[in-house]
Amino acid sequence: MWSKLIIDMKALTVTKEPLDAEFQELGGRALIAQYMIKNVPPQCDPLGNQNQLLFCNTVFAGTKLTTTHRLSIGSKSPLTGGIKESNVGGYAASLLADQGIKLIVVKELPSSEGLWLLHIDSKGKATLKDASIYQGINNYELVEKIHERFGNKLATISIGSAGERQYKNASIQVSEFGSGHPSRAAARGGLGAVMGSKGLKAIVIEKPEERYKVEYADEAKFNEICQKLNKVIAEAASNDPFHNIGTIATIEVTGANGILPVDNFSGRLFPEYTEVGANKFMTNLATRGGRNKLACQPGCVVQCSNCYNDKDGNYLTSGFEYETIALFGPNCHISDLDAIAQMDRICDDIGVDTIETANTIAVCMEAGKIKWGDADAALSLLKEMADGTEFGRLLGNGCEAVGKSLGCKRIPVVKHQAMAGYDPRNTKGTGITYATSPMGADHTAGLTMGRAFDDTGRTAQAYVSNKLQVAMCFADSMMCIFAFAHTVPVLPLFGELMAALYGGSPDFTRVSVGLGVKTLLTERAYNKMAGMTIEDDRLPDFFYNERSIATGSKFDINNVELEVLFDF
Amino acid sequence: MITSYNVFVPSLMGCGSSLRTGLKVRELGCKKVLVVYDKGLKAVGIADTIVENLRNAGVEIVCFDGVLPDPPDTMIEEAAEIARNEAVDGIVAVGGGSAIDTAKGINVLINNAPPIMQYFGVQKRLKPGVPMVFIPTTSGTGSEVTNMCVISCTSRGNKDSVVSPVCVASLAILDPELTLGLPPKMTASTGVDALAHAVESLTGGNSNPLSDALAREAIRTIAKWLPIAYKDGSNIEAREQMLLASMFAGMAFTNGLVHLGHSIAHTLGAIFHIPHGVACAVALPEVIEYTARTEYKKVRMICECLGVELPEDASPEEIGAAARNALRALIKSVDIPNMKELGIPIEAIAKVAPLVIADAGFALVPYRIPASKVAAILQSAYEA
Repeated sequence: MWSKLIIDMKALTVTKEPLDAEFQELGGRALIAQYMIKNVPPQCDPLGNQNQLLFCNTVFAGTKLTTTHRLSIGSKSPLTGGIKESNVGGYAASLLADQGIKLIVVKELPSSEGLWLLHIDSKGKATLKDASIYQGINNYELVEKIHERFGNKLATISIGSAGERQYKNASIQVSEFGSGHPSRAAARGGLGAVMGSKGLKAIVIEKPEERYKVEYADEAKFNEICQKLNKVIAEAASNDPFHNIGTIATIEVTGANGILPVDNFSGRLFPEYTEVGANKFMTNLATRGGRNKLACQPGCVVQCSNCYNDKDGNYLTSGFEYETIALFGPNCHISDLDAIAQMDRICDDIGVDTIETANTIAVCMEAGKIKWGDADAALSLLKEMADGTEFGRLLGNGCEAVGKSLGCKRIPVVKHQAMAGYDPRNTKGTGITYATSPMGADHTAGLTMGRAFDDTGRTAQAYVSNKLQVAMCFADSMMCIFAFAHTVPVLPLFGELMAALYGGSPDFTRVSVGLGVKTLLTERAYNKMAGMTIEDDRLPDFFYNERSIATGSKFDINNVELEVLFDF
Repeated sequence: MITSYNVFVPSLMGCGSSLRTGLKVRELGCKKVLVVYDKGLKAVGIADTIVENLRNAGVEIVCFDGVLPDPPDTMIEEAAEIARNEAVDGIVAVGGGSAIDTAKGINVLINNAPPIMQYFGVQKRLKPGVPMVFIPTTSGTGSEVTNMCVISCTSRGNKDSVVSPVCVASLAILDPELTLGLPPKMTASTGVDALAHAVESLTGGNSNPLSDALAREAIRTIAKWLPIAYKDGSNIEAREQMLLASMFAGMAFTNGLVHLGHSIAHTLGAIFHIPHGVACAVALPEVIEYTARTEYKKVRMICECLGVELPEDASPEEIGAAARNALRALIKSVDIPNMKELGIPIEAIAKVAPLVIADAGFALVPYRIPASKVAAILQSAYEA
C-alpha cells in the first residue's frame, strides 16, 4: 500500500502512515484538490501555520506508463491567494514512487528560525536534518553539496534564496534525471515561498534498495493497455517538434501570428523573433556541444528537455523552454538567446518562476525603470532579486506588485499571477483559460491555440477552453501533458487503465469526471471560500480595450461566456 | 470585431434556368459528369429533363440515383467509387439537401482516400475534386451555396459534417419551377429548415453584418411566403420567394454558422429518423429564447422580422419570450408537429440531451449550456 509522509515542522517530526483510503485512487492535481479542500482552511494565511505544502505522485505512479512520474506540488498560493497545483518533471516523483510514497504533507511552521532538510534514505527511512549550513545557498550549489554529502543516486527538491526570503514568485526546483541539474521548476504561484516559510530547504530522495511494488487489480491487463498507450505516444512523439527541437519550436508559430507576446503584451509583432527561434537554438546546440531530446524523468519518450551551453561550450542551463524565451525575449524586446539563457539559469538557481519574473522585468521596462531590450539591465534586476536589495525584494513579489508600485497601467495578470507566452487577444480560448482557471493566468490549464475555428475569433473558443481545462485537470493527475497530448485518439484507454489498476469498471468517466470535472469544481469551490468572486475571472482591461497591432483583435469574449464556462 | 465575408457560389436563378444546365456544365469544361439524384426525382420527371439537357449539350452522363435521406457515409463511399472508376470530370446534383450533400461527399473522395469519416470537421488541406453544379428542388437546405455537407456516420450512429472548399459548388442553378411539385408537408419541413438556418446564423458567434442582412431578409421572406407556399404549392411567386430565402439563409449560415438548434436536430434525426427540417423546428423557439441572454440585439431583430413589436426597454428575457412565441406561431401555421406528435417518448429526452452536447456542432453555441438545460429546453418544447 502507498505511504504518506507527514512532516510537522513545529514538532520537527516525520511520520509515515498508509495513504488515506479516500485518496487511494487519486493522484496529482486531483489529489491536491481533494486534500486541500478537506484539510487546509481556504482563508488561511498562505505563509502561516495553517497552510500545508503537499508533494504527490500521480494516479499511475509506479507503473510503466510513460511520463507518469510527474510531481504535483500543492498548497494555498501566496501569489494568487487561491488553491495552487504546480507540477514538475525531473527525477523526484519516480524515486518517491520507488520509495512507495504517494504523498508528502508538510504542516505547521518551525517554532524558531532555522532550515531543515528532509532526507529519505535508501532504506526508506525519512528524517529531518538540520540544514542551516545551506542558508542562502542557491539551487545549483546546493545540489552539488547534497551530492557530495549523500552521493549521486538521488533526486532533489529544493528552494534557493528566493524561497527562503518568501518571494511570492519563488519556485520549487527539482533535479533532472541523468544530469541532476536543479532545472525543472514547479514554478507558478510562489510555492517556493511556502516551502521557505516552513523552513524546509530541500527534500533528498535516495534510490531505495528495494523498489516499491504497485498493487494491481489485473497487472497483465494493465501492462497490455499501458503498452498500447506507450506505443501510440512514442509513435506520435517521433514527429513532435517538442521532441525533435524542444518547446522553443512554438516560437516559429506564435512569432508570425501575433500570439507571441511582445513588449509587455503590446500586441505588436517582433520581426527579430527568429533570433530567439528554433534555428538559432539548434545551431547553438550543435556548435557548442549542447543537446536536445533529453528525458527529464526516466522512461519519457517525448524527451523535450535540453542542455544549453554558453559560447565557450560550458554548461549554462537546461530545461530551456518556450515560455522563458518568449517572455524574457520578445516580451522584453530582447533578441539575445544567450542573455535569455543566463536569465533562465539565474531564475533556476535562486528559484523563481521565469514567467512571473520575465513579466515583472517587462513592466519595469514599460514603466521606464530600465530600457526596452536592455538585456544587461534586465540581468542587473535579476541580480538585485538574488541579492535581496530593497527593489530586488519587491521584484520577488511579482509582476502585479512591481507594476502597481511603478505606476504601470498595463499589468498582464489574472488572479495576481502573470500571463504565459500567449497574447489572449490572438488566442482567445487561451484568454478564456487565463481568465477562468482556478490557477490564475496559466497556459498549462488549457492552451487552445490552433484548436478553435480561428484563434482571433470568438466562435467555439469557450467550448475548447472548457474541454481543455477539464482534460488538463485529468492529464495533470496522470502524466505529463506533452505525452498526454498524443493520446487524444485513444482516450478511453485511460478508463481501462484505471480499472486494471484499481479494479471496478473501465468507464472513462472515472477519468473525465472523477479526475477532471470534479477537480476543477473543487478548485473553484476552494477559491470561492478563499474569497474570490466572479470579478476575479476577468482579464485586465487593456486586453478588452487595446487592439493587438499584429491582428487588429481585441479580447471580445462577453462575460456571460466566462461566467457559465463551468456549468456542467 | 473583425470578420470575413464568405461568399462562395455563383448562382443562376429564375424560372426555366435549369434548362441552361448543359450549357453551363459545358462552359465549366466538363465532358463526363456524374448526375446525382434520388429515385423520387426520377419519378416526377425532373431528373430525366436535366439528364437530357446535359446530353443535348454533348456531355457524357453517369447516373447515381441511389441517394438516401440523411446520406450515410457508406452510400457516399460507394458512389464515389463509381465516380472514380468512371473518371468523371464533373458532378451535377439535382434534389434536396441529401442529393447535394451526397455530391459533396463524393467530391471529397474523388482525390482523397475513403473512409469519409476521417475528414469530419473543418478541413483546410483536402485535395480538390471536380467542378460541381447544384440544382435544388426544395427550398430549405441552402446546401447549394454552402461549404459543408452533413453525413450520417453509420459506425457511430450520428451525423457529422465535412467543412471544406471541396464542398463548394462551381455554380448553383435555382429554378423555382422545379419546386412546384413539392408536397405541402415537405414544403413546410424544408421551409422551417431555412428558417432555422436564418435565425441560428443570426444568433451564432460567427455572425457578421453580411450574414445578418441575409438572415433578416430570409426570415422576413419566410414569414410572409412559407404559409402561402404551404397552402398553395402552385403559387410560383411564393415558390420563387422561398427558393430565394433558402439561398439567402444558406449564405447566411455559411458565414454565421448554426448552433444548438442544429445539434438538437442532428441528434433527433439520427435517433428517430424524422425529417431534418422538422427536427430543426421542434425546439427552435426555445433555442432562440436561450440565445437572448447574450444575443438579445439579434433576437430583437428576429422579432422585428416576424412583425413583433417590442418596447424600447424590453429585457433580454422579454425579447427571448417574444421571439419564442412568434417563431412557434410561424412553425405551427405550417402544421409542423411537436415531439409528442412525432411519437418521441418523453423519457427519451433525458438520453437525447447528453448526445446533443456531444454533437460536433455544439462547439458553436453562443454560450455554454449544460445537458440539464438542454433537457429543459426539450421538455418545454415537447408538447408546445
